[in-house]
Amino acid sequence: MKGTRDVTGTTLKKKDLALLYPRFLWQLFLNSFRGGPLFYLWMTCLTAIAVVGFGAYAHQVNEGMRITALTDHVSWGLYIANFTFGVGLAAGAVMMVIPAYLYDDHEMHDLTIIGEILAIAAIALCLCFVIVDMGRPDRLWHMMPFIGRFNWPISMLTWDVIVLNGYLLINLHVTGYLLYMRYLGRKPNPKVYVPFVFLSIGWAISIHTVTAFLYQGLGGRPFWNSALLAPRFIGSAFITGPAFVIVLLQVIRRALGLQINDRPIETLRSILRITIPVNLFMFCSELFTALYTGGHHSAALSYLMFGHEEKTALVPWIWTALAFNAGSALLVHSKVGLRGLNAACVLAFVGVWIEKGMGLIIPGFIPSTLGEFVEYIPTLTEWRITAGVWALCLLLLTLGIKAARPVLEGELAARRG
Amino acid sequence: MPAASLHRFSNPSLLVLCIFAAACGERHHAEGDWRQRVATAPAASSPQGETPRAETRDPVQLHALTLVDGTSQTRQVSCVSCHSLAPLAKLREQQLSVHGGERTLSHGNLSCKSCHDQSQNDRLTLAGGDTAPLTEAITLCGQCHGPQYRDYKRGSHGGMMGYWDRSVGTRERKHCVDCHEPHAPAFRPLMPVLPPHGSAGKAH
Amino acid sequence: MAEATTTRRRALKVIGATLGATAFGAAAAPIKHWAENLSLGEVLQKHYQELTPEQLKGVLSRLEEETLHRYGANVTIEDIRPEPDTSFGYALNLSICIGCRRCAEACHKENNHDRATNNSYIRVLEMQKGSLDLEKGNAHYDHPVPAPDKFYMPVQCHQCDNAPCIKVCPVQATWKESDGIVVVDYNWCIGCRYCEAACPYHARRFNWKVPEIPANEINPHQSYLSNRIRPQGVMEKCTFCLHRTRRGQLPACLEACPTGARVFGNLLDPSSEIRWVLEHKRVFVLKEELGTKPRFFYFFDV
Repeated sequence: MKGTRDVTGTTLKKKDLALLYPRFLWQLFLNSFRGGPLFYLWMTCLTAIAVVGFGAYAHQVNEGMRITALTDHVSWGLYIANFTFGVGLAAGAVMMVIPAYLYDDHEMHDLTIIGEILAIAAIALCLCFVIVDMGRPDRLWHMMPFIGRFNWPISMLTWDVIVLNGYLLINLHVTGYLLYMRYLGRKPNPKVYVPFVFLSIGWAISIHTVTAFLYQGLGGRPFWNSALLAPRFIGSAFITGPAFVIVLLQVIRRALGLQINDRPIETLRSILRITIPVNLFMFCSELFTALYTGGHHSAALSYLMFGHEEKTALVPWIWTALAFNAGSALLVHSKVGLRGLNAACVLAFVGVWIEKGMGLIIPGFIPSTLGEFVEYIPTLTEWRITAGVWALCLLLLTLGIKAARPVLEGELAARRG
Repeated sequence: MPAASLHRFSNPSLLVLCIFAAACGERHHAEGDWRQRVATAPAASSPQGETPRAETRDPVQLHALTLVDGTSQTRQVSCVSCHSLAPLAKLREQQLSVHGGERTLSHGNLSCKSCHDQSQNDRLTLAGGDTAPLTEAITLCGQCHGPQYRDYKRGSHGGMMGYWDRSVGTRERKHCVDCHEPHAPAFRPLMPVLPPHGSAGKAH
Repeated sequence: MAEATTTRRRALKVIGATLGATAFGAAAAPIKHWAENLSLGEVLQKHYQELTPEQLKGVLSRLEEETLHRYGANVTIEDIRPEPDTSFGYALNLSICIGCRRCAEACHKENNHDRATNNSYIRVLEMQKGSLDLEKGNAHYDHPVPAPDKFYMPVQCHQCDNAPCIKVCPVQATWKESDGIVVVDYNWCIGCRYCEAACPYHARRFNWKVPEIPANEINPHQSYLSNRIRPQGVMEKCTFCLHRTRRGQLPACLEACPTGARVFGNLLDPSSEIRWVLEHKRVFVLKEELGTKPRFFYFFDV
């Protein structure tokens, strides 16, 4: 493209485009520091939590992971649990894209950039959790294809690296392009971004399937070695994504003063009406298989639900998760207003966080491969780092939504006008 | 809205083939490892797993009685130096504490003359009438305890120290009586060492 | 009025930013300390299989220097390659193992394990007679052994021919050598612990901290792929004492066993004792249904 026309009809050369891009990024950066007192309060709190988390992480790097509660028996814990949950959230964020682009839902269409920004923040969350879980973060370069040694295609972790980073790039491209075009005051060219939007739909399924395959393929871990794991992951991803977005849309509506009506929210509610019961159904299916057959295969689930002898650390967690999931299923099906829906979303989000995190990763290690029951209770360091990563990614989400405001305003104005 | 010419993520069948090929290739290489090579290896010419007797060290301690004699000297004394074994009652589970210290005989239904030669107090009676010096007790043990002796010769009983590759180094084996005191041969229980760390601590 | 507000706001922003930066700097202090102990050579070092002989020599002398500096011990770290026509196998006699854990202790000393945690590659389970159910096993027994109604099963890395740990490593930091031993390049491992999740035999250990060993207890005869003192944050496992066995010696655990329950040798030598055991005793492997093809065999005498 030698030159393109903007809304005023002036032709911009490629050279100008290249020069304007750094200015655009600088404006984004400056924009992060502009806002009202509530914005400042929110950002300051998040920053404080992030710094505390970072401090805890620095201690972990220096003193080694012995300051976590991880052992050679339970060698993955809070970090990987949150990582797994984060991948689901990133995949589920694309839930808005499906009705918008596959079913021509125009109201949803205007808001899909929110889902994409959420996906970016969620992938950043995943990448942070992977890094804090690594024993040698200074050796991250070993995993880069062509520079290090990349054990593709045998290691599922390498597939995960490819799909997660690919998903991040796709969403950065679409979001960046739309924001940049808005900044230049020009109409985005659909050919540049729409194919990637469609790509992101299939790609979202793949990121969570690959993540499930990480666990699913391990014969030595019977709790994970089930064909149902990938469907469960996808199912729960399509709970957390819509649940988060429903609440997020209302927050954006209030904070940015945008005229978002209830139709996209109702579309997402109807999705939750299916995915929450399906998720419960799949859990019950696992429950039946384990408990009816009995024997070695039921050991981990038995420990999770009922404890083993005096070891009952996870029992209250899983029953809370089940109660939350069931409660949200009921709420989302009843004729409750927005308040009830929000309650259902919070319950569903937290319920899935427990069930997929503590309720899936930890029991995979208990009993150990030699039949030993060693429990895992995260230390304060782990909680601090976890909180810090979540705070950092909420920061990114906030800044992303703030940056996307002109796009949202423009789209909504165009639809009304 | 553009026509949905969807760029689906991948060509699934190609991917699956890729993974399978790589996985099978790896397994085939690993399988082709020692099992296959064993099947095609030439037959051995050396004797089958015979442990050269030269490896077996002399017994560390011959189990005579330690007594204090009239001149307050400590001596190692064999039973037959005082007792005649000719008219022999079976001594079973008998405490020979008259000699000071404890000595029991708890070796199945054996009596002294089952092993000790009656006329020569430093020799043992083998099956078939031959005798052997006390340091060759392993031959006598093996005559009754065939399976254990066979296992010992094949390296799966009694332990060893040194080299597995006898072409570059030697090996030392223990003598039976180093672990099995012939008068009460049952292996004595030991206290285990190096407990795996803690119940609430790290590195279980 | 508006100007005053703007100036106040700017002042607050600057103060806030300074406070934030100071807090961040304070938080990052431990990382600085950690980075001081990290050499550039180590960070940039290539994979073991890609090092030229000169580079490898340089790595070995750097590691020897670091050991002297950190532990105060003079050690020799060699690169010992597999011998041709060798394929190791190990067998364990469950009829005569008495569970005394002297093998675990010998491993602890030979392989320069962290003293405080009693780390060892060998874990001995006290099992119920009549059952091979691992869940009924107990690793924390503390009474004279053998107990009458129990048998004892030491477990260590089986150097599987179809090892799940090798499949899952994202950076190929672990691989199988030609003599059958599965090794780890401690300077390439990124510490993701995926191999530890994948191993069905609890064979892998992670360095949750820097190993602490008094200088006079360090075994100075070390090799790059086996018993050199490992850094923090990497995986490790039993290597069949390759620094000994590749020189024809017996592994440390076997020498320590008082009853002779352990049998080791070259599977390609038809006259070897390991071959005799495999051909004449009723051997089995753990979790055979997983298809890992271990090289560590268990047997009973009867």
